[in-house]
Amino acid sequence: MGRERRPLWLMLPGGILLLLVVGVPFALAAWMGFSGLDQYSLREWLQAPWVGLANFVEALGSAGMPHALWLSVSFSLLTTVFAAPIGIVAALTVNGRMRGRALVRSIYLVPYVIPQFVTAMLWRVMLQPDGAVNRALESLGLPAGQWLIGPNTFWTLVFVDVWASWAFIYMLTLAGLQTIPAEQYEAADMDGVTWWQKIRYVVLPQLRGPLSLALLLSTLHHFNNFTLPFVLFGTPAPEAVSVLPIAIYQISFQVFRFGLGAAMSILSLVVVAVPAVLYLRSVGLIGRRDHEA
Amino acid sequence: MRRRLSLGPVALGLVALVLAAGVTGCANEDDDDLYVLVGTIAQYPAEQRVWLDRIAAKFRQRTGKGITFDTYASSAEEQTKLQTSVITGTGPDVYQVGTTFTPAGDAARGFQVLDEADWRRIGGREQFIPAALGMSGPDASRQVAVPMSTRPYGLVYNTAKFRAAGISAPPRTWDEFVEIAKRLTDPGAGAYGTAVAYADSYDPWKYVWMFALQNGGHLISADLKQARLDTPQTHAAVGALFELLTKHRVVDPDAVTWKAPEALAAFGRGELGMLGMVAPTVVPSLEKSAVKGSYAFAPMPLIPFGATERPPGGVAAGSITSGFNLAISSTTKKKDLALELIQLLVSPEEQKRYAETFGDLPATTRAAEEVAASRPLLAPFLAAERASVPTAFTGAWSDLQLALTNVVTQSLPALASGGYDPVAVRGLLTEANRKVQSSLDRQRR
Repeated sequence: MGRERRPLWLMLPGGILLLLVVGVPFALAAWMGFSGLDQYSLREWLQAPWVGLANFVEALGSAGMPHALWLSVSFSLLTTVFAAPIGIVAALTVNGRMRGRALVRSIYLVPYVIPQFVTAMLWRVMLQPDGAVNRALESLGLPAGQWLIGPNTFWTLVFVDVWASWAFIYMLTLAGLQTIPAEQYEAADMDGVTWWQKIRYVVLPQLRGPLSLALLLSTLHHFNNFTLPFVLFGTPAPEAVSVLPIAIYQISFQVFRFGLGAAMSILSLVVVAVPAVLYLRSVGLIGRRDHEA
Repeated sequence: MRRRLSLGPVALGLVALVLAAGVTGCANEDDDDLYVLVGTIAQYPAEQRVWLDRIAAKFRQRTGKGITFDTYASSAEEQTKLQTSVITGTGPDVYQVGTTFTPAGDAARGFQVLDEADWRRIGGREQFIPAALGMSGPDASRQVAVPMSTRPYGLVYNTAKFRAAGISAPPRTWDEFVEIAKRLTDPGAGAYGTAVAYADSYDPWKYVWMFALQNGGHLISADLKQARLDTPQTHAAVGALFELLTKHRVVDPDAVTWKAPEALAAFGRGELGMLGMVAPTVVPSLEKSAVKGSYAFAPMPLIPFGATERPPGGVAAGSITSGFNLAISSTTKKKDLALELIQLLVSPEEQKRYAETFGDLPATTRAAEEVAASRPLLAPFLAAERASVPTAFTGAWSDLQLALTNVVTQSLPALASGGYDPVAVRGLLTEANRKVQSSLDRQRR
């Protein structure tokens, strides 16, 4: 069907909603980023002083955003690196037929279906100095530690987020595994390949798409994760876990510098957009001409 | 020719309907109702529901109008609702706000300034405990909030432990406090003289404020222009807070990660001899604890460390002026109804009923005295309220709270190791001072 005959107007309702839900707030945030909007100018917010790039300069300087950004990038990448093999192996264990497969699959989903604030609360209790984690470590002859204060908090955050999020990678990997035809496994068996060769030459090449998506979405989710550090450590957070969402929250809603908070959010969006755009280009969703039309 | 169904207008109509439904859903149930925002009382959800229904019924009797109550569960939600109201010009007509949030609400110009006629309408300023009016506004000439309830802070001590140790009275000075705490500390038996909830969002800055003020150190200058977090008094105040653990060793080391409820639970288990910065609202918890019947309250000590009397300029500060205020929205068109509700809530009967139900003390003198007379256990809190000192009435106070809490938060790893680095603390206080000064400067501009 030619482009001129497509009923593009059917996209109008969705487009209007998108404009209201995404476009208008984004435009407002962009405007706020260039304004000195704070608690003192809130009443006449439209007349908030225009400060140009001052908020962006402050965000990248004295507001401590580079430190928060570094923490967020490290945290999100590390969490994905640790969660990915767990998710992949878990998916492989329940891909084939076996007794109790449905039950195991359900159990695997538990960390993912528990609301994040509940996960954070549970771990917060268990990670107290006299909590279950330290008791378990001591019973194994290992030293107990302070997991909710100080430099250990970074690894606490990584650990708890890996626990909460590996199931996401597991789900997408399993979905990818289910699309591999059984004939390919049979053919590989007939060729006498080893288990590892089967993974290496049959499974992983066909998992590239879903796994890339899983890794990208997972990393972006970790980068934007606010609930976990907020509930685990509260605010102000220890220096080691003052990740970007926490820093933006504090600036916007505890210090009420909405302009500075908006500038930090925009910079954060730019950082997040880089891997997202790279992924979309790699799967051909943007940057290619619609030559089939 | 077959007529094609025109879906465009249909789709647009559906969008319009959805949006209209959304807008309608956000509106008040009845536009004649008074819209009132109150804090959720998590300890007493059923009692609060009954209380709200009662107030609504009495209000209807008086005015013929109803009340639509909305609640907030956290200070973040409280702020969001107020700020949304300020921007949109809609929202609650009356706010029940915490005293330390009142300056932030005023800085956003969310509240109406009350004039003499307004005060007369609700029964006059004279009916209130004078100190309770300390957080009504920056000064007597400009007040934006009416005290509804007070939450003075004091010291709770274990009377059984005091008796067993031969201690006859609670401490009046901080040196006495440490001496008593040492006598009650026996780490081998899991007993400690006291605890400080170092990881709490409120307790640490209250201690620092108190210690500094007793030595004459104001955290913000009286003219609200200068931050004073990098003064010797503030350094000493933070040091005093830390040294209860690191030098005097009278604090349970686990308290480094505690928030206030965890410290209270430790006192309730009988592990602590004393616990500071507690409010009358702890009574129901203690009545269900192992120390039921063997605890009493006292004002916080008012003489600084190493002294037998306060130095020149020192303030007898034991408790911030705390509690809940009632403020009328700057955008409301129902000021008369709002004043009518406030008059009802500050009436002696309602003040007493609120205090008896929820544990906070009344804000009016007559009701407070009657409550203290009927419950002698709470009498020290009435004394603490009368002597309470207001915090600086500026929108920068929330910055100060956050900045001071951050100083303690970043020092927790050192405290957990049994010490602290005064140089590092000095650096944190300098940075905290910069942030608060920045907020004060923005307010002036």
